[in-house]
Parts: sequence; structure tokens; C-alpha cells
Amino acid sequence: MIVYLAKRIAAVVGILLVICAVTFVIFYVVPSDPAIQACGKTCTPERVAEVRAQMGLDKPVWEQFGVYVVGIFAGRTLGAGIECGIPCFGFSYQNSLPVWDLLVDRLGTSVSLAIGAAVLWLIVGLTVGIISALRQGTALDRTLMIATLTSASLPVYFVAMLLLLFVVRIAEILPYPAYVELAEDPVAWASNLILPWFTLAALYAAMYARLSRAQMIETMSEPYIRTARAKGLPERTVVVKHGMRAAMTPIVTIFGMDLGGLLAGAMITETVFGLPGIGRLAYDGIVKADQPVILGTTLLAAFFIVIANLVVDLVYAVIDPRVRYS
Amino acid sequence: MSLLAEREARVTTDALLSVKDLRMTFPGRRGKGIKAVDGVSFDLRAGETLGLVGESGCGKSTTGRMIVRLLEPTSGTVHFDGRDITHLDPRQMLPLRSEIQMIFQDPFASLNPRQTVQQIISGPRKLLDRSGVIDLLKLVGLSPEHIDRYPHEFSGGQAQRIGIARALAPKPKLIICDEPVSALDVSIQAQIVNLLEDLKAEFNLAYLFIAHDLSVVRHMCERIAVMYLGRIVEVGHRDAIYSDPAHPYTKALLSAVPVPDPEVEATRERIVLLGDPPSPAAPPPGCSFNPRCHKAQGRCRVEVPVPTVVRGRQVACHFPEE
Amino acid sequence: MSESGTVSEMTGRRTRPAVRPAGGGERSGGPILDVKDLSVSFGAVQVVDGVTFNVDRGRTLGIVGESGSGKSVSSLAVLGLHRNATVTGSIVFDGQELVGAPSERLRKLRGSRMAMIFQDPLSSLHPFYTVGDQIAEAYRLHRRTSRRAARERAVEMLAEVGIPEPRRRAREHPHQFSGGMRQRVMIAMALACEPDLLIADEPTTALDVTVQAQILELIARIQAERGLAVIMITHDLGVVARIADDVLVMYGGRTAEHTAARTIFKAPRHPYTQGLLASVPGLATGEEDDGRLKAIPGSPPSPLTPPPGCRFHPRCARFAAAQNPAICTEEHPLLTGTVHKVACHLPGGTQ
Repeated sequence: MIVYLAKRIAAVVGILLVICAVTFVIFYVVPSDPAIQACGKTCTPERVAEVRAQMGLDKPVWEQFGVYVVGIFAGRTLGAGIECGIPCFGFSYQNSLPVWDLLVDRLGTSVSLAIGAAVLWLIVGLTVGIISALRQGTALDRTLMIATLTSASLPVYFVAMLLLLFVVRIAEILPYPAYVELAEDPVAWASNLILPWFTLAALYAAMYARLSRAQMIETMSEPYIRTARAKGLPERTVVVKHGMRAAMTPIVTIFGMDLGGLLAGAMITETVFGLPGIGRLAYDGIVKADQPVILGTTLLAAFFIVIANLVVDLVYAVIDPRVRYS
Repeated sequence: MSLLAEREARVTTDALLSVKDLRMTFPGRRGKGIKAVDGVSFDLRAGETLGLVGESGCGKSTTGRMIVRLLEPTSGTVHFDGRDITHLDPRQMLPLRSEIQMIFQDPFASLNPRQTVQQIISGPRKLLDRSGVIDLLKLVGLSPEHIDRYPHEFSGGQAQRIGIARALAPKPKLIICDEPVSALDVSIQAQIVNLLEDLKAEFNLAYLFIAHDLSVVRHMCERIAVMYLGRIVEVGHRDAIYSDPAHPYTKALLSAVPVPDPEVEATRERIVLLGDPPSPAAPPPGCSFNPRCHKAQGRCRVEVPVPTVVRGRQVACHFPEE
Repeated sequence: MSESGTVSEMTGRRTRPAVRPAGGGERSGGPILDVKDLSVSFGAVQVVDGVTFNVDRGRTLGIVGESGSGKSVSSLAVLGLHRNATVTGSIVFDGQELVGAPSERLRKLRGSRMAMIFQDPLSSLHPFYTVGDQIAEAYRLHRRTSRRAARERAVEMLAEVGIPEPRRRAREHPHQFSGGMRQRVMIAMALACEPDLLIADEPTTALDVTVQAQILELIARIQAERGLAVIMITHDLGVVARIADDVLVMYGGRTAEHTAARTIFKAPRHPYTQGLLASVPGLATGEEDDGRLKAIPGSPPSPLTPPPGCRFHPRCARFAAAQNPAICTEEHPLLTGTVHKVACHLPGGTQ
């Protein structure tokens, strides 16, 4: 088990390095010179070269990469004697703030959004999916499935606009969302996140409903469900203890990955609602070709997904006795 | 050892298929190999049917798959028509693929569901034209109008006939039949058995008939090899094996088969073996049958028995049945 | 005595029940299970059509048939395990009518007084729960015992079905058992509440022949000890010959022939039974040695498109020999006879 865990963690580091390298190379290939952007509009070629050297962009790409990676673990000192503490992800080209601080600053928002939405979509998605499966073929099942199909096919920004229009503008039930820290005012935190939560959950709930329905239908036709009935168990026990236990197991895998990805920001939802999260940061970074920010947000997202994957695999060994790691 | 040398000399002269000391070790946990097939030797003459029987996990299917090279043997040799085919690469195997064919247990799983009967039977190399396929369909007891249908339109027995027609198309000399009737209804099994026998007589085919149903094997095969945990424990003529089994496992296996006659069932001697066949991942030392054998003694737990001739058949047992 | 009870009357009972466990209800004189004119259909598709049989305590009924014969469907109907099926006729278990009975009453009988084991023990056991928990679950539910008592019962049952180290094995999961051991677990689970009736649906088909012999032996032993009524559903005539007292041969959802096991094998009257017996190769030297097997032509009918009249006529040698009489293609043959029942317009042999 310990050997297995050590192997997996080593793999995580490897994967992150590869992702980092790929992002680095992509950025290097893209025809955009960060030095010109950092320098400003009225800039002489000499000045650009100076800035480039200062940013370390004159060095070969592999060397830049090495400096970057070492910086994450050991920190580094940039050209003009600016200290970049551990972990150093460089400075944003736009506002010269350390990328790590930007990430830490915005992580709370993204995590609040992701976890709230996840709770919501799990409750709604699984309930709808299981009810649909147990009432397979009825009018209720068909109605629910059409609803989930609609919900899954609506673009996120469209759902967000609709919610804003009806809830904020017409009905005036909620104020226009503006992020408030949980520690500051829990009620305001929640009421401001309700619309983003619903927006994000609408898409995922629909997918989870369809997935859990399919899983449940498949499980309920397994011979061991027939055995449970043949033992004379009440139908509720058959469904909950024997059916759901087995049907929900694969959903854990997908949930782990989805949540992992969302922890590092839901780009569209955050942008539409103006939430200062990682997704928004990444969006701005991409628009402005802000290499350190893009690298930082990409690595954070990759980190969450890879870690979520590892956690899922470990959890799996607990919930499915057939899986044993050695 | 002289026995083996003698056998070898004979094998090279008239055997169509000659398998020597074939082994297959699958990678297991913690670097310990699983010996699925552990030194199997036999030979098969043209036009002969050899039965390979045993329980699940005894290595009989693995042996079949190594002969057609669906699996790469760990060691040992396979000679076909006097030629060593053990390590031929896929291109060298190509001409031999038409001479050695295979029929599988699940007829549907082994037929491409997106191909018509004509496409299936004529094969990727378009061996046959339409009339050739129709001739084959008639031969295996299907009607010519079936030619443009897809596998799902057939019953299990008909699908197996298609599988047989496909195997016959390249005019093979040897067909490996891997449990060809065990997935079929009882009343269909006899049809397929008869068909296989007719085809054998017509084309002088040799069959390696892998099955667990001992009554079907007795009906089909002239010689029978009984496998247990990767090894052949007894091989010989059908009548010798069935009426006078020499290996205690063969005897127990035969007595376990229920006979469709209540009077026989009520009176016959029955040896019920204890326990399950051991796992090939952890075979017992000595004779692999010793933990379940009523005759096992100290020697059986340490020394692997070497095949010897007992009453006209080869038996790998220290204390064969009298 | 009802007419359907006479079959077992005539052949004599081998084993009468020993002592019924306490709390098992009043002993009725008739068979423990009495099924009359049972039909099962799913929508417009009729899978079982008017099947009648009964089983006494301590006796074994073999139901023989091929795919689509309705043999499994009939037995699932006895336990009320069909969903979305229309079940008609009468199923009387120990004096209680089960057809049309409230589902709650059926549920309470299932697992406590009627139990079932299935073909594939691996997929029939829940992969996530220990075998001990799975055995204890039904016992605890039906007997309302403590968790500890149910767990003890599970260990006791595992020992009874011949699983070594039952206390340790009870804590293991199904995938840690071999095929034969899993089927023993299924049997332990089915018998934990001391049922009166055990329905075994192809219990040895997925097993090796030496393991099959062990399982058949085990079922016979427990049956003799407890006076259990057993329905053995199988396609294997050898299994039937080994353990059945009476045999019901089903074809295309209907009864073809129904009588004592010895009679079925010695003097079959239905051409399907005769064909089935003739098509199986023997094990002993000298039987049809190098001859061809006498195969039945064609395939079993699909319940979706059953042939009119007698379901067997398209494959029947006697029908062909009698120059295709119209009666076989038009009329469904009724089951006739009291001891030896045959549904055939042209039955062979004499009674």
C-alpha cells in the first residue's frame, strides 16, 4: 500500500512536470512577445531587448523552463533584485504581482463556487436519476429525461443570463452577485453565490441524472438484485442497500474528476457573474497573453485533477472490496 | 527418457501436428509466473480426432490457442506437417493460417456482427466467390438464402454452423474445436456433433477437440488426453480411457459425470473429489493432483510423476489404478 | 388427493420429512407446492402456457427444457419474482394461494419458506458485501434476531455446507471464493431460514463436473436431513437422472411430458423427450459407438413466434412419419394420462 502510494505520488509529480512543459512550449511557439507587452507602446528596440533580458526571455526555452521549475520549489531572484518566495510561479506581466498570491487570493471564491454547486448537483442529479431509473419507461421518466437533456444542452452563459434576467432584474429576489468572503458574512456569501451555484449545477445535475439513471438501470438488472429479492428483502432495502451501493460506485470516479477540475475555477460562470475566482484569472491571463498567470492556473487545475484522481482511486479501494492495491 | 526419444522419432514421421513440451507461463503477482500449461506433449495424425479434456483452468484452451498462435508459447515446440511453426512471424504464419483453423465456444462472439454471412465465410482474403459460399452453406446445413443475412438473425446452432463454414473455407487440414457445442441447447449439440463428423469424413480433417463434456468427447474422439493443472495426466485410446481409466483423476472425472439413466445413477460407484482444482498460480508440490487424490502417498507430494505406459496408454501417476 | 398429486403417490416416497422446525405452521396433507395451469406472459408474449405440477416435502421435481422452454420463468413466477408479468392459474404453497396474493405476503415467504439458488453464483452474490453479511441479512430480517445471532447463524450455515474455516470465510467477499464454494455460499444463504422449498435454477451448469458432483451431493444430503422439497431446473438429463424423483419436460412454454423420473428415462412417450434422450451420447463403451447421434432437426421455437398447434411439430419425426396430420398443426395437444402425462396427438409407447 505504501509502495503503491509512493508510486502514485511520483506519477503525480511527473504528470505535472509534463503539463508544465507542454504549456511552456505552446506559449513559446505562439507568436506573441511578452517583452513588448511588458515594455509598453512607445518602446525602442534596445529597451525591448533590455526588458527581455531582465525577464529571462533571451535564454533558450529549456533553460527558462528549468528556472521556472526550480523556482517553484526553491524560489528565485529576478533581474532587478526582486525576491520571489517559495513557491515561485513568477509575476504577472500585467500588474507585476506574484502569481502565487493571485492564485491564493482567488482560490476561496472558486472553491466556494465548486463545492456549493457540487452539493446541489449531486442532490438534484442523483435524485432525478434514481427516480427515473425506478420509474423507467413511465411518463415521469420521459419528462425528467427531456428536462435533463434540455438542461445539459443549454450553454452555461445562457442559463446565467436567464437567471440574472428573471431572478435579479424581473423578480428582484436576489441582488446582483458580488462575492463576499464566507468569514465576513456567511449569509451574504451564500445569497450572492446562489445564482452561480444554480448555473453551474444545472449542467452537471443533468449529466449526473442521466449517468445515475443508466447506472441504476444496469445494476437493477444484475443477478444479485434478483437474489436480494429472492431473499425476501423489502424493495426499499433492495434498491438502497443492494442497488444504489453498487450503482453509485462508478459515479464517485467521475465526481472526483469533475470536482477536481472545478476547484481550479469555472471559467465561464465566474466570468459571467464577475466572480473573482481562478477561472476568471485564467480567462484574463489568456486574453492578455500573460504567460506566468496561464502557467500558474493551468498547473493548479492540473494539480487538482491529478490529486482528485488519486483520491478517487484510494476511495475506490474502500468502497469496492474487489479493488486492492499492492 | 528412451520412451520420449522413441516417441519423438515416430512423431516426426507421420504426425500432422506434433506438440512437444509446450509451456505457457503468464505473468503473475510479485513476479511469480502462473504456469497455465506446464509441459504438454502430444501428436495428432491427419484425419484423427484427439480430445483434450479437463476442468476449467486446466490449460486446455490455452494449449489450443498456442497451437494457432493466438498466444505465444513460453517454451516448447509445435510442428505442423513436419515444420516447426513455434516461432514463425505473422507473415510466415499466413499460409499456415489456412491449414489450421479454429471453431470457438460462443458462436456469436466469434462472428463479426457487422458482416454478412458471405463476408464472414469468404474472409478478409476473399477466398470464395458467391457460389463457393453457397456450396459451403449447403454443406454445413444452412440454406443459400442465408447468404446476405447478419449473425444476429440466426439461432445459436445456426451461428455455430456459420462458424464452421468459415473455418472450412480455406480448406484446412486441422481444426482446433474449442468447446464447440457447450454453449448450445442439448437438442442442437447432436446436430453439430454429427456435422463435424460428416465433414471430417468428407475432407479427411483432423480435429483437436477441446471440451469438458466427457460424453461428447467420447463420441467424437479416437484418442483422448486428460489434462489437470497444465499437464496431461493420461492420454490414450478412447476405450482404454473410458472403460479402464488408469489415472485416479480420470476415474474420478468419469464417475462425476451424471448419466441420463436413473438406474445406473442409483447403483454406480461415485468418487466425489474433495475441494476445488488448485490454482495454477500456486500449484501443490509433487503431483499436482495429490491434495485431492485418494491414493496419494509421501512420494506424490514431492516427486512429479513422469508419463509411463500402463496398459497401452500413457499415465503420469506414481500409483496408477489397477 | 388431487389428480396432480397422484404422480408422486404412484412411485412412492423415498424420504418423508423428518421433523419440521418449530413455527413452520400447520402441516397440511397435500404437497407443499401445488401449481395448476400456470401461465406467464410479458405483454403479448406468452412464455409459459398452462403448466401444472406439484412437489412434496422430501422430494425432487426436475424441470427439463432448453432455452425458451419457460422452465426458469415458471419457477421465478412461483416466488413472485417477475415484474411486469401477467401470471394466471394457481400456485398454492402450503395451503396458501400465491397468485393474486398481496406482494407483501409473498415477500415474507421468499427467503424464509421458499428459497432459490441460481446458475451463476458469482454474479448472483453482491460483490460489495461479505458472504457472512449476505447470509445473515435474510435470517435477521425473517427471524427478527440480533445482528450477533444472525452472524452466528451465517457461520453455522457455512460450516453446514462444507466450507472450511467458516468463521474466517464469513468475513470474505464473494470474489475470494472459487466457483464451487460460491455455490455453497448461495445454498447456505438459501437455507439459512430453513425453507420448505428450494428452487435450484441450473445450479451446476457453470461448474466443473467434479464440483457439480459435490454440489448435487450437498443438495441431496441437506434435502434428506431436512425433508426439503426441491425443484431442480436443468437442461442436463444426467443431473435429472441423478437426483430427481419426478420429471417435467417443458417445450415451448408448455408441458410435453410429466411423470416419474424412472419412467421418463425407461419409457418416454413424447417424441421430444425420446429425441432428447436419443441425442445425448453415452459414456459407456459399446453405446452407439461409431454411429451418428440421433439429432432432433431444427431449433427450439422462440416465444415471440410459436408455431401453431403442437409447438414441437416442425421438428417432430412422428409428425413427419404420419404424413403431417392436420391435428398436429391445428390443435394444441392436451395433457392426458394420470400417472404418465403426455401432451401429444401421436404419443408413442404404451402406458
